[in-house]
Amino acid sequence: MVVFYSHVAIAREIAEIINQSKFPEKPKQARQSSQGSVVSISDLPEDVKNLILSHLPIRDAVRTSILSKKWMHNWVSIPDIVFDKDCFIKGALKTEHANVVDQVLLGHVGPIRTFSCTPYVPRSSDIYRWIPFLSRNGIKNLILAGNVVADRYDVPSSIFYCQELCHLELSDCMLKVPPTSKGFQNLSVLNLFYVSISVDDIALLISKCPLLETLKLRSGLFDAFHFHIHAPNLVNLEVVGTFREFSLGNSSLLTNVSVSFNFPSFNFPTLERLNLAHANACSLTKFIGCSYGIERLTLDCCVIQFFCLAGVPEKLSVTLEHLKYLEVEIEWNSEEILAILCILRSSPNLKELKIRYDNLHQ
Amino acid sequence: MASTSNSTSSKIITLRSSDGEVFEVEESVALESNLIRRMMEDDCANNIIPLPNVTAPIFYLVIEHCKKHAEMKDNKEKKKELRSQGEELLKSDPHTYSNLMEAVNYLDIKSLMDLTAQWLADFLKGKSPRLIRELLKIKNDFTPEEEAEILERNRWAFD
Repeated sequence: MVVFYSHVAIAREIAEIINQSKFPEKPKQARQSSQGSVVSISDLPEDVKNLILSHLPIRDAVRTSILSKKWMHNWVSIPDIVFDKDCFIKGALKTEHANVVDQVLLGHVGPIRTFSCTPYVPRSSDIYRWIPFLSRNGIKNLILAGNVVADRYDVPSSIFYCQELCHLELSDCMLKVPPTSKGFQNLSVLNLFYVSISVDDIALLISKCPLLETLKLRSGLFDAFHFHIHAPNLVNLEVVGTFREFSLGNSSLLTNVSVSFNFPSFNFPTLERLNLAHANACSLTKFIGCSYGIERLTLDCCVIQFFCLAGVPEKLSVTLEHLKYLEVEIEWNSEEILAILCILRSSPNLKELKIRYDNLHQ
Repeated sequence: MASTSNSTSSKIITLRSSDGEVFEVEESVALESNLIRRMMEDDCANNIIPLPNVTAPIFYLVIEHCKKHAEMKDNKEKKKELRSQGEELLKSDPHTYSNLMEAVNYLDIKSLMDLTAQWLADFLKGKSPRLIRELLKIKNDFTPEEEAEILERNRWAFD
């Protein structure tokens, strides 16, 4: 019998099969084929079971070891190790948390593609054990980003031996970049949240990540710095911080940009305290630079005032041909409106403009 | 059986399941499978492509999921629909679900492999081993001593 199926016919047919949870003909065929068909989920090939377990937090993966003998050893070779909040007993000491991680790493066999530990910020002594272990096992995605306030730990320089890293996310730590470091030649995503790092080191690090596509930086309060981006492949940029100068440079692939100050409502007294008002290099024109490919631009926390300090030109020096979306948070003064108009005049293809008015501090 | 064609005149690939049923599938759908792609590249595609490890009912399921997956890329509704159908199948008939996964693995359809694995993982998440055994019809073949030993080895995960 030749069965000719169009998409519509298949859709109808299969919806029926699934809905009725039975097959229109020979229902037993699905369960027992002559080719030694699967009868239970336990009999799936090892790599399929590993894939399933890779989608689970490590605690759930380890718990499958007690299902049956066919599941006993599967978890030890999963390439993605994710510790979520359920992996740790609430209120337990950091030592106990670290013991759990140690136990998992000790029992693990084979390459580790992902190591993610987000419920708590580890201690330096733990990180010094884990990073070399992970670097020897080909780590690609390393996420050590807790969302709790904690003491900052030191990141060991052995992190730069993790040359296969594609995704690095760190929070609440101190990071030093050795001048001789090779950076990360394969890194495409770098997220640093409340990481203590010098201005020179962040520039050095970015310059040594040639494939960097996504960069998210959230700095601690009053870490004023001069921020000039030189990342030829950068597509997404999100910065929350305090800066004296800010330039996107010549990132022609840059598509999504979001900039914000890290205090809730920006105002001029704060600005003066930070001695930012003298910065003559922070004009809108310099900020945009030659990044004419931007499609989405968000200027939060009245950051637009910062770009007004050097005066607002009629138009930018580049035309933002691709800008579709502009979001600006304002305090409602005329300077801000001039700056928005300046961007509008330079963005012939803008589709959506969102202006948020923040009057919390008034 | 239905025998209607889509208005688009895309190339049709003929495949035969292990139980001898012949399917004609649009090339764009068939090429989701890396196995079929490789067979076509090796020029085995002028004739009927045999799929000795996949039965007809399971192949129906695979094609449907492939098609829905292609549709759902930017469509949240479709995504939800496909997901709930997958979950429903997993709950009502875990054996067929594992047959589907095995077929997807054999046909080497990466997107669908990830999706079905994700659904199963979501299903397992947070459930007790006892409940998982019951729902997925997994037989506990450990002696009480063996079970106690496993519990002891990773006590942190079972508390």
